[in-house]
Amino acid sequence: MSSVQINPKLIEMALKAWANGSSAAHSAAERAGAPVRFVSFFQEQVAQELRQVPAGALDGAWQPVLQSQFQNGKAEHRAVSALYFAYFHPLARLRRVTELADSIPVSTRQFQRYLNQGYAWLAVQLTQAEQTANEKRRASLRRFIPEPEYKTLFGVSDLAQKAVGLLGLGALDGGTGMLSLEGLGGIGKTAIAHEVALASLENDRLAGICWVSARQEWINALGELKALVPASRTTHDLLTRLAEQLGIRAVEMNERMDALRSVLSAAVYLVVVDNLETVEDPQFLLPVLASIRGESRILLTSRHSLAHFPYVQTIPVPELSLENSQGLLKDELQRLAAGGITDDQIREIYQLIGGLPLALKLVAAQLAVLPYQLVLDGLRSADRHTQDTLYTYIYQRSWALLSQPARQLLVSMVDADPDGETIDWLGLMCGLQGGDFEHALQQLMNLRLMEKTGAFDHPLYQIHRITASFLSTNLRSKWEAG
Amino acid sequence: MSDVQPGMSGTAGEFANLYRRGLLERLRTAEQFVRQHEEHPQQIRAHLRSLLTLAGHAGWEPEASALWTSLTDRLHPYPLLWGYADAWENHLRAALTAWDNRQPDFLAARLQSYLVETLYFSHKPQEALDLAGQALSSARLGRNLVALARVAQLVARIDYDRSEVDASNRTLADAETQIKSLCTDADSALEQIALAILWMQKAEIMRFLGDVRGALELYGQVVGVLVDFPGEDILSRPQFWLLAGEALESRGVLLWARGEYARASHDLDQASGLYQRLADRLRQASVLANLGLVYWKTCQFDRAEAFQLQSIAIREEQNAQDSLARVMGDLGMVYFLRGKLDQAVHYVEVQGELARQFGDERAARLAHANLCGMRVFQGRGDQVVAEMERLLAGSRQRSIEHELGVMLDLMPCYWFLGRTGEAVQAARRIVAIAEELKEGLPGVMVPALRGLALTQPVDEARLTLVKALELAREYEREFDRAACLLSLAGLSAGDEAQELWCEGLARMKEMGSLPWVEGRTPADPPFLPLVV
Repeated sequence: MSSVQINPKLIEMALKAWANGSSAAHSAAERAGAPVRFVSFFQEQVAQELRQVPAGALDGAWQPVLQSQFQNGKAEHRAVSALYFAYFHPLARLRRVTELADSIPVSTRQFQRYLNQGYAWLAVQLTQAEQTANEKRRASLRRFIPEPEYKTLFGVSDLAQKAVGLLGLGALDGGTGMLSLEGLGGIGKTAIAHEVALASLENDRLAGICWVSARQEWINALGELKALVPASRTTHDLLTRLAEQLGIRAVEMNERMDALRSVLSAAVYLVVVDNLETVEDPQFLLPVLASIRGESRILLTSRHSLAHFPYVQTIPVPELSLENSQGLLKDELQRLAAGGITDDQIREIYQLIGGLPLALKLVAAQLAVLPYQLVLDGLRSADRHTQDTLYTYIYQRSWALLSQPARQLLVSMVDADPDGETIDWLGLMCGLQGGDFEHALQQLMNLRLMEKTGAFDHPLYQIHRITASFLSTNLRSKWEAG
Repeated sequence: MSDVQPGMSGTAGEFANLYRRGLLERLRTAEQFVRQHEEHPQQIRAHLRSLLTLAGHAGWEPEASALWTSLTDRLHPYPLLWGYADAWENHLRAALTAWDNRQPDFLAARLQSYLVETLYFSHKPQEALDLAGQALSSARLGRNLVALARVAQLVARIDYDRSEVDASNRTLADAETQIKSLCTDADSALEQIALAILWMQKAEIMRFLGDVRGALELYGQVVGVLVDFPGEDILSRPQFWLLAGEALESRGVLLWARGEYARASHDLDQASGLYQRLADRLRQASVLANLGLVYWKTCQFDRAEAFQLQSIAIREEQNAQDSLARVMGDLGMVYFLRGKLDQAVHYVEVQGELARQFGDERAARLAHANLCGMRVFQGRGDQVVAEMERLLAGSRQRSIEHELGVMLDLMPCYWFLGRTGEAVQAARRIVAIAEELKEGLPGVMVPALRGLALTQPVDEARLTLVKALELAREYEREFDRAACLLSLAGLSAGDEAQELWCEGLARMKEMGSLPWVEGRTPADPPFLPLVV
């Protein structure tokens, strides 16, 4: 029942239908949008308002109890008492209004006024309860959506709207079942998926939103962050985590698959599978997802195109335009209190690194510390033939800017949960104390090598996946050489 | 801040050196952290993913082996209990591969036993069996009695799961012989622990074969070693808390089925404490639900409700929606006997919705049947009688117990609808079934007689109810006892009626079931539901 439908008349109709007790009345109440179980809610509200249900339920002496309730001076209390005796008191309920009024005594019209006030009071209680329930619902829908990596988004909303439209998430009728956001690493695919998920919170018919990231570095025991587990196992892990989010704890795989199919078919969910490129063989995963999804929608993000899967529709995610890149760079510099960059200077940087949001953020952080010309010359001298070498150059430059404690902290984060850790844990594991630790943390944050995520009162700190790749590449190259 | 120079070729080396220097220190810190927080494993759980990441990275590093093993010992079996079985399997496999043939057999056996347990836990029995041979061999060579027992127990359990009871018994007997032959005087405490691990499975087989008394005795010995064994350092490892919890839970359920409710609640309570100590919330939720059933059976509805609500809260907190259906239904039944019909219907409806959502047909059927029964007492029997007759036809194809369950709801339904002949017939059938089942279901004759009394003339009904009341006292069926008293009040007059009514009312009040009697009088007593 939506809040616009709740009014005193409806409450009165529902209570009367319930009080009559016939099956026809139950059906009428249910049709009117007031299922009988609301009566329990009403009863609880009334009992709570009266502090306790008045005594005298079993000995038949209800009239003195009713009189004593009406001696209370507050109008609201009288209204609630009127409801209680008219509908819930085991001996008084179902008696005529005249009889109840006489026993107080007040006029029948006055008692009816109290009752009307009572209906209005219950309508308010129900509306408030519904609002609380809606807030809970939104919180429940949000719980698996990770915190955004970007606080201010540039060039995302149009693509997010397009994705919402293609997935049919606006009205949940029609639309494609599986959609892939595709583009270079660090280009903002996750940010778009995040926007899609947030936009879907408004959809009343969506039963839930799941978010699983395909990154599985933390299970790799060879000192590498890149996923090396077999494709089938990655699929297994992904489906396990999806099942957990859907409340399925069955351990046996066949049971789990049956339950997944059943749940995803019984209602419409939005399932986001982020970073699909780390799944070594999507040929294995995608048909499974397609076969179990029912009417639910699957949103994928991937560096590689999935256009060859006939049941997957794709949206290529381009680099940011110059205009959006300007917005992002200025926003980042403002955050670091390092304004003053001109549009021409931004254009020069854009020509060198393009519209890769992560690269722009890292460079903006360097610009807050180093002279513009030095950064620009460095970018010009770097090997920019591929995205990887561009990032390697940028990360090496950031590394060089770090103090020794900051390096120590960054290195220790290789062994931390990729989805983020608490500040206490990071402090414990990096071995830094007090001011050293705080300065190191601040420096990593300023240089955008560390991101703050999680809830406001329980923040977590993590390194971006591409940053982690850079670190692991350095680690691996050294070990392989040594 | 470092100088900024183009061409930072040394970055990789510097980074790798820094990482490697810190790795051992981080491992040491992590091991201490786990050790310090063993009494508060929620702290360990909060950082498990980081601990797994670190352990995974350190597994390849020979210098880290001692610390790594110690950390792995301290962590096992937490990852299995907290939803990280896959990661733990990968971790153990990678380490065993990386350390191939470089560990002493004693340690290898321990790690292999962890992996066998992890595979079993992940429902990969064949993979567990494939590894078990190697693990048993390492355990024998390294004289690791506990690892040998644990692997043998799991192999026996897999055989048992596959209904190969003889093979299961053979595995246990072989292992017992080997443990005794490997044991020296210095190992006597370890021998006791190892044997207790084997007995857990042996007790399960005895229970399966119907030797309940023998199973209870054996569980008693297991509990004696794993729970009450003083001063053994090895028992401070969390894996033994888990085993002890499982033994107590199994014994508690067995005692409950035998109607020994006080002992059952004691064991289940202890098991709950151990699972809480392990931060194993789902097992704890399961034990709490069983405790709720024990208190439901003993008509302590306040406590039954509290335990079921706790169980529900934990499952919701853990997002274990697929296990919520049963406990929602159990809570609905608590409210039913308390007379809170709207709440009872609500929870049983939720049970049905969840069961359908997760494809659990059995739970959906149960919810549907219970809902029909509740509708009868809401005065809506006309809406459900045809459906109940259909359910009855289906139940007859399953078992006599199922038939009884449906009949106990259908009989009063017929009566309330004025279908007297069918009610009488149903009541007689219920008595016949109760006669047949009374050995296995002590006390089942009480609701049968209450149902029969409803259909009898006053004098006969009074005699039947007096008999039912005696049986209810004998079998401590408090709800039936109160129901008999209230019904007898309705068949009596004057002071006698008032006395019976007051006694019945007092019992209803004690159980928290007063809503059943609200608005009722001795002349118009309520007819209370018939439950097995």
